[in-house]
Amino acid sequence: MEGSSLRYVGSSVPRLDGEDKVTGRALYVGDMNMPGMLHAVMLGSDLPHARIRSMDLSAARAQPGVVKIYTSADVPALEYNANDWLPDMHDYADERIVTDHPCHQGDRIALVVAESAESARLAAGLIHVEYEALPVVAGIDAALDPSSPPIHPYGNAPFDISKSYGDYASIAARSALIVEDVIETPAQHHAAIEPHACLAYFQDGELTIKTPCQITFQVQMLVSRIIGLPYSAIRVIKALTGGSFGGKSQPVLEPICGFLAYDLGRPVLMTLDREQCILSSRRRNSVRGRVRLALSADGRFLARDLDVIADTGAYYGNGTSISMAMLKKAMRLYRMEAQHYRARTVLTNTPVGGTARGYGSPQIHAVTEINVENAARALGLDPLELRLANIVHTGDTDPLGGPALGSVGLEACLRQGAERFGWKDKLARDPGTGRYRRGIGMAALVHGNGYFGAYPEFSAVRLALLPDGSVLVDTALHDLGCGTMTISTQIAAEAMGVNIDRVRLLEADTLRSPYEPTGSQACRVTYVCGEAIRLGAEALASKVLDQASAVLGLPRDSLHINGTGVAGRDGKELLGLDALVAQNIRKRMEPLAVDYTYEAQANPGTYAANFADVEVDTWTGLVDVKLIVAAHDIGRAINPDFVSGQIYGGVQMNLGYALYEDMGASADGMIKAKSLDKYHLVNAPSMPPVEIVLVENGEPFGPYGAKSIGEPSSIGVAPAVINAINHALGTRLSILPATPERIVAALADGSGAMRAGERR
Amino acid sequence: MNASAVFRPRSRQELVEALGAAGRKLIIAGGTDAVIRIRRHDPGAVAVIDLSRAHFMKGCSTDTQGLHIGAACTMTELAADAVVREQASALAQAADTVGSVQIRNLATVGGNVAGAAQCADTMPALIAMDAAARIVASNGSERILPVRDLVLGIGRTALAEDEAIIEFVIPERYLKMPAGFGKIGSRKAVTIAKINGAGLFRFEDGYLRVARLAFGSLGERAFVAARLSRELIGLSMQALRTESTLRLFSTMVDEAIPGRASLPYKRSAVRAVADDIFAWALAAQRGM
Repeated sequence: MEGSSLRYVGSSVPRLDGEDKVTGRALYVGDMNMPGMLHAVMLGSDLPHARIRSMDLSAARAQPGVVKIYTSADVPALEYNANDWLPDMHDYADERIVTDHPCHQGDRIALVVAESAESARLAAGLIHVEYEALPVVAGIDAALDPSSPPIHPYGNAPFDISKSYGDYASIAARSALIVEDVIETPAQHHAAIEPHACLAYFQDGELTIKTPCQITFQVQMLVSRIIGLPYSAIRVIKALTGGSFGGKSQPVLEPICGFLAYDLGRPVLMTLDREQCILSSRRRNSVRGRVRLALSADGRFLARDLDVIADTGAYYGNGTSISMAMLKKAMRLYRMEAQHYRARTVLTNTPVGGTARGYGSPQIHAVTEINVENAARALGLDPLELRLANIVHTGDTDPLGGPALGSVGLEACLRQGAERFGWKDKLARDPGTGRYRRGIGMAALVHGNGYFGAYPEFSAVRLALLPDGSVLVDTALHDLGCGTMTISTQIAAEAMGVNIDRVRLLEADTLRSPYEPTGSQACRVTYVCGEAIRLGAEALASKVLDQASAVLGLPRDSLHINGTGVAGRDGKELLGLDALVAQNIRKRMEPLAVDYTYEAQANPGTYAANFADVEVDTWTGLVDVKLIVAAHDIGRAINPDFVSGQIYGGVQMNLGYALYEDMGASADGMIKAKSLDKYHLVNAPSMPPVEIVLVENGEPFGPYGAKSIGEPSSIGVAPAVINAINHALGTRLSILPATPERIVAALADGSGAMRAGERR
Repeated sequence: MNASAVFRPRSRQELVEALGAAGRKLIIAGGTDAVIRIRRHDPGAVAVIDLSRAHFMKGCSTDTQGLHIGAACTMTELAADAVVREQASALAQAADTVGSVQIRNLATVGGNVAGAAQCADTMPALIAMDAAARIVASNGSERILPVRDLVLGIGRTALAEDEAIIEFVIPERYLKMPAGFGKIGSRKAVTIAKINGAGLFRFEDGYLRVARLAFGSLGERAFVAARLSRELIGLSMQALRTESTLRLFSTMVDEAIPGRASLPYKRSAVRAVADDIFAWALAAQRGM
C-alpha cells in the first residue's frame, strides 16, 4: 500500500456534483423538457392475475390533449426478459411492453400519451377495463403446489439447482448437534427518492434515451431486441440518478419510452409515481431458506445444508442469478467440510423480483447468520468466539472452485468491531425481565467485487490530454448517487499526477463511451472500473513523460508530473502540460491519448461484521436500536467520507429490512404497502448511532488496495438486529421484518418460530 | 381537479360567502391530507376555499365559556401555545406528535377533525375534554356540535357541504386538569397511530376522583371509554401505573375491536399508551 504520498486517494474530496444538487440546479430526467415533448403514463392492472376482456377507451380518448393510447394490440408482440444484459443472454422471456394478461397488481395494461402529464393521468383514470379474473398464485407454498395453475407456460417453479462439496449427510450423521432454522425475508422496495423516469426522442434516424439507469449498454441491447432498431441507431445516455439501490438496474421504462418515442416521432417523458414504483418496477426477491448446520460439541462447523427458495414475482427476470448469487456468498464465509445447497426460484402473482442492493446477500446472510447465532445459543457459546473459530482467512480458496477469497480481513472486523462495540461487557449484561429488555447480536458477512469468475469482467477507458493540459476520461461509468464520478476522478488525478480540477470524467453514453456491458452492478465499479482508470491514467502519464523526455532532452526517470506540468527532480516545472500538447501537435508525435482495457484479475471477498445493541419494548414490540457498529474490510478507503456515507445508508436500508420494510402481498396477491405511509422506512428519529471501523489492509488487485462497500454495508445489520432481539427476549424470531406485531405475538406464544401460513 | 372558483376568505363574512358558492366545495387549510386525497382521487369540479389567510380562525383564548381554539390553528401553534399547554395539556401533547415538523407547521386542528381519520391524533384529547365545534353555514347561521358527534366514521362527518368549522370550544370544567396523551405507531416519530389516547383526571388526597379517557384507532372513530373511566375512579395514584390497572385497558380494547386481526397486538400495546397518559398526568399533578 502506498503511504501518505498520495494526494487524493484516501482524502475526503467533496462530491463534484454536490453544489448542483443542494442548490437545485442538478437536472434529473423528470425535470427535463423538450420542444414538443409528450408525457406517457402507464395504467396498471387492478387485479393480480387476469385476462383483459375489453377496454373502453372512448372517454380517455376524448380527454383533451390525449395523443394516443396503447393497449397490448398496439405494442411489439415480442416477449423479453429485462434482466438479460449480454447480447447472447436469453433467459425466460415473458414480459411485454403492455400485456393483456396482467400477472401482478400494477402490471402494465395500457399506456396513455398526452400533451401534458396531467392530461395523460386523467385519461388513464378514464379507461374502463373489464377483467376476467384468473386464479392467483401468491406465496412460495402456492407456487410450489403442482396443482396451482402455471402463470407462464414454463411453470411456476422453473429453476431448481443443487451444488455441493463434501458429503453433508454422512458428516451431519456423526455431528454432535444440528441446528435448523427456517428464515423468511421480505419483498423490499428500493425507495429511491427519485421515482423511475425516462426521456426518449427519435430524430434523424436515431433513437436517443436519457435514463438514470445502471447499464446503458444493456438498455441499448434490450431496446434493439424489442423495437428492432440496429444498435447503431440507439443512443443511451446515462442521466443524473436520484438513487437506485438496484431498482433502476433492470430496464423497466426504457424499452417502453423508447418504443413510444420511436412510434410517435416526438420526445416522450415517462415517469412513475410512488405507488407505481412499488407495484410496477422491481422489488427485492423475497426468500425462504431452510438451513441445517452440523457442529461438533466444541463449536466447529462441520457441514451445512441449505435449501433456499426465491420468490421472483410475476416474471422470471433474475430468477437464475439471484439463486446463484446466494450460493456464492454461502460458500465463502466459514470453513467446513461439506455444504449442500439447493436453490429454487418460483413465480407468483406479485410484483416482479429483481436487482436490489446486496443482490442475494441480505437474503442468504439473514438465513445463515441468524442460524449461526442460534447455534451459539444452543451450544452455550459466545457468538463472537463461535464465528472466530470457524471463519475463512487470507489464502483460503472457494470450495466450489470460484475465484480465490483474496485478502480476508474478517478476523480483524470481528475483533476490532467487538472491541468498539463492547461485546464482552454487553454479553454479560442481563437482558432484564421488565417491560424493556436489552439484547445484543452480531453477524458476519461476505460480498463480492465484480463478476470475475462468472461473467466477462472488463472495463475499458479512453483518456486524452487536451491542448489546455486538462485530461478527459471517457468510460461507461454510472454514478447512482454514491459518488462514483468523484472517486473515479480522484483515482485518475492520483494516477496521472495532475491536479484534480484538471480532470474531467464523462458518464456513460453508448455513442461515445467504450463498450462495457456490465455497468454499475455487483460492486464492480471501484474495484474493476477504478483499477481500469488507474492503469489507464498511468499509461497516459507514462506517454506524457516519454514525450516530455524527448522534448526536453532529459532522462525520463528524472521527470514527473507535478499537477500542471512536467517537473524535474527538484520539483520545478519544466514544461506545462499545455505546452507539451502544443509541441506534440507541431512535432506530429503520437497522440497523447490512451485506449485501455482492463481485464479483472480477481474477485476477492469483501468482509464485514455488524453488531447491534437493542432495547425491545415488550408491550409495544417496538425496537429501539441503541447502537450499530459496522466493521468493514474495505481494503482501502479512496474517499473515507463516501465510505461512511455508504455505511450509514446501508445501515438505514438493512435496518428497515430487519424491522419495518415489507410490501406484504396477501394471499390474494394484493399488495398492502403501496405508499410510504404504509411502507415504512427507517426515518431520522429512528436511526441509531452508527460507529464505523474500517479495516484497511489493502487488496492486491483493487485500485490503491480498495474493495467494495456499497453493497456490503447493507447486508449484516438485519441479522445482527434479529439476533439482538432474540437475545433480549429469548425468542426465535425467524420472519423478517420483526414488526411490533410479530414481536408481541412471539412473546405471547413463547416461541416466535415461524408458523405455517403466517405470510406469503 | 378542476377549480371552478377559488376563495381565500379573510373574514367570517367572506367565509360565509364562499360557502355559498355553487356546487361542491373543497376546504383546504394546511393541505397535508387534502392534497394527498386530491391526488389519489380527483374530486372533479370544486370550488376551493383556501383558509391560508383566515387569520380570524387562528389563535387560542379563554373566556367564561372555556378555551376557544381557532380551527385554523396549526399543530405547531397548538403544541407551543402557552394557554393550551397549561389548560389543555393533552391536546398540546397530541398536536406535538402529529406527523413531522413540516407537517405540523401546516396541518390544522380543524383539518385533523374534519378529515375524520380514525387515527387523528387530536381527536382523543378533544373528545376527552368534551370539546364542541362551532360551525358556520352559508346562510350565516351557526350551530354548536360536540366533536364526538361531528365525526361519524372514517372520512365521514356531520358537516354539510356548505358548512365549515370555525373553532373548537373546550368547556371550563375540563380545563387545567392533570392530563396526558399517548400514541403508538410503527416507529418513534413521523408515524400514524395504531392506537392513540388521552386522559383527564382529578385527584383528591392521592386518589383518582374524576377520569375521562378517550381513544382513537380502535375502530372507525375515536370514542370516550366511559366504562374504563368509571373503573379507574377510586384507584390510588400509586396503583395507576401497575400491571393490574393497565390490564383494564387491554379489556377495553377487547371490547372495542372484538375479533379484529389487530386485537392481539393492540391489547398489548394499549398498556404503553395508558402508561404514557398516566405518566404525563401524574407529573402534572405533582407539579400543581
